[in-house]
Amino acid sequence: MLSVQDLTVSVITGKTPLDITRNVSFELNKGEILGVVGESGCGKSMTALAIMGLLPKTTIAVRSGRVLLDDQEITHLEPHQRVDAGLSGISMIFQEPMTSLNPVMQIGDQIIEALLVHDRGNMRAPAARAKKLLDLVHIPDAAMQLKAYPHELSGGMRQRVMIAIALACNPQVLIADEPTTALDVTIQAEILSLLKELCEELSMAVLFITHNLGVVAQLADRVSVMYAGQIVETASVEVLFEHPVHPYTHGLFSCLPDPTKRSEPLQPIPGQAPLITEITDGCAFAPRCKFKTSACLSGSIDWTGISNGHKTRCHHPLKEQK
Amino acid sequence: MLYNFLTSYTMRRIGSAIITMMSASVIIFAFIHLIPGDPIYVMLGDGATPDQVKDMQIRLGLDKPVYIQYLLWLYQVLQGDLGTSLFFQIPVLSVIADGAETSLLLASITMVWVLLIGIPIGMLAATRQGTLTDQAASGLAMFFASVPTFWVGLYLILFFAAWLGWLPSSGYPSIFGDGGLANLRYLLLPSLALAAPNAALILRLTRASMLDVSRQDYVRTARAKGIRPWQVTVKHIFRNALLAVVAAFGFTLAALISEAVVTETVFALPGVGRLVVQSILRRDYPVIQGVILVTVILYLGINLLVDLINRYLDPRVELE
Ligand SMILES: Nc1ncnc2c1ncn2[C@@H]1O[C@H](COP(=O)(O)OP(=O)(O)OP(=O)(O)O)[C@@H](O)[C@H]1O
Ligand SMILES: [Mg+2]
Repeated sequence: MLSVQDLTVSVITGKTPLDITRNVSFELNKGEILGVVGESGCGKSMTALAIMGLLPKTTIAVRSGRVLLDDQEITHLEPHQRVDAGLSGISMIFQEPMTSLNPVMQIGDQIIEALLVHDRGNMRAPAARAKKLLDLVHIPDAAMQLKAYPHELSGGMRQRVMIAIALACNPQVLIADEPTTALDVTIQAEILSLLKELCEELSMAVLFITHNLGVVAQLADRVSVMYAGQIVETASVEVLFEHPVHPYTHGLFSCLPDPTKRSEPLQPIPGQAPLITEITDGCAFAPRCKFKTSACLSGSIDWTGISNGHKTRCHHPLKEQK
Repeated sequence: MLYNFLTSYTMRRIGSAIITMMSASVIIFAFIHLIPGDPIYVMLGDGATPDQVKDMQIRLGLDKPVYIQYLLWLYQVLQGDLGTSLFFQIPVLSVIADGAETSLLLASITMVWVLLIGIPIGMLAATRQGTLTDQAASGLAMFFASVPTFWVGLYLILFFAAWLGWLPSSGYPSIFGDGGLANLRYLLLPSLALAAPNAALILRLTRASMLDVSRQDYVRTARAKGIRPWQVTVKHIFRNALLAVVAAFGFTLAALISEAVVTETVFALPGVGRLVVQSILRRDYPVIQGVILVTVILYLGINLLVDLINRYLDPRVELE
């Protein structure tokens, strides 16, 4: 349904474009939840904004690659142009629920605004439909809350409102960019189970961006691991957690505290992820990798298939079990 | 219900305005006592006889204890009695009323210019950030914000009055007399001169706060909905940027009042500003005191209004 092909997003203000992401590709099918994991700055949000058509276009742009929704190209279209072309099937919720709602507008109006754009045939009783959406995201006392202003709601409630606004756009795909990072743990769990529920009820696909492997394990069907602007490994959740093959993915798991092995020290990956200005030919992870060979230092690293649906960009995928 | 209203923002804001007004009244009352030397001699001149001095003291109530003087003065002021002009020998209030038509019209027309020029061009500059339009608008605004009002006034007179001869350069006959509303043309150049620095200020502020707001997360949310770009600009960016602009109105007003004095002098307008200048030269202290009082009331009133408008525009405002 959503197909992202070789997406390269670049900063275009300098003399030569600076790539933030390189050749990001993935498919997302109906009703599926794809988790995208990667550390801060690896380009997750920029990928999401590029798919949405929301890049700050004077500074950052899609340099190559395509985004297809149901085989229709939507790469360079902004959301309102997608509405005009009848191709608006992607909604997004953001990391900061506290600042993502207009502070001087009642939340009912903010939902209705989206409803009116996306349901031209059905303009009647938008308030009633906004209330239904608030019910759907489990906001208690929905009729009252339509009149509330954002500052009267808690962070968790605001994120629910954001989800309601996203749903008002009738999405086939929902992009959730670290939607729970700013919330405390109990609220996090509620929002996650809400997303899972909606995904099943509305058979909506979800692109779930996070740097939290635990959340991915809970929620996602498949996972893509990103490193320095590239996807380096993709697999189903079970396979990836059972048998990660890219040294970086493996390193991520070694950083996780494991309650059954409390005596063993955590093993952080030595070194640091490169800045986008430092990326050179070859594998971006090579400087930190203990398996690197001279082959890793030049050219681009192609996909190696491991098993059905499991692949990695690595010349030396790990063989042994985790 | 009543309790809610009494503790509401509006009531508390009005309450604080009244308190400010009372404090201001003490200072304005004290004004007559702050004049260096004996005010009576200053007013009457050195050649005054003891009888004249005694008479004046009684007229001004200066023979009574200060707090009684204050209460009496306050009592009179509340009844609309601001004393008698030493120069005109008529009530101060009617001296001020004579200049009020000119000054209020001048201020109103100026405000219209400020809003009509400052806000739309500020919006335009922000939406075209970095383009030639933006640079031209911002450059002109920078220029007009930094040159003095009288300079702008003199050039307007030179160009439109002396050279082109399109508009009168001085004076203002009442619109209620001969000529009627057409007399407003006398206020065109003065109001433009007075508007120039203030419109420039509002323009820069509108532009800056539009740019600031357009970087906010909620603007991205609005764009994500797929609504039209102009709707994003008006309903989300402008609506929020307006808060900073409205809040600055109070300051603009203060600048306007002091610049009006200069402008009325440059254009020889029979307004309150010129009245102040003349009254200072004539040592007509009751008139000066009266003008200050009226100005302070107007200033506080308009600031109160601005705050209430802001309260209406911004649901988050709470009085600390
Ligand atoms: N205007 C810009 N100019 C230059 N570089 C930029 C600009 N905006 C973003 N970047 C770079 O793009 C990279 C990717 O940023 P992005 O926000 O996508 O990361 P992320 O994976 O979402 O991280 P996080 O987990 O912190 O949200 C970062 O390294 C950042 O430095
Ligand atoms: Mg991010």
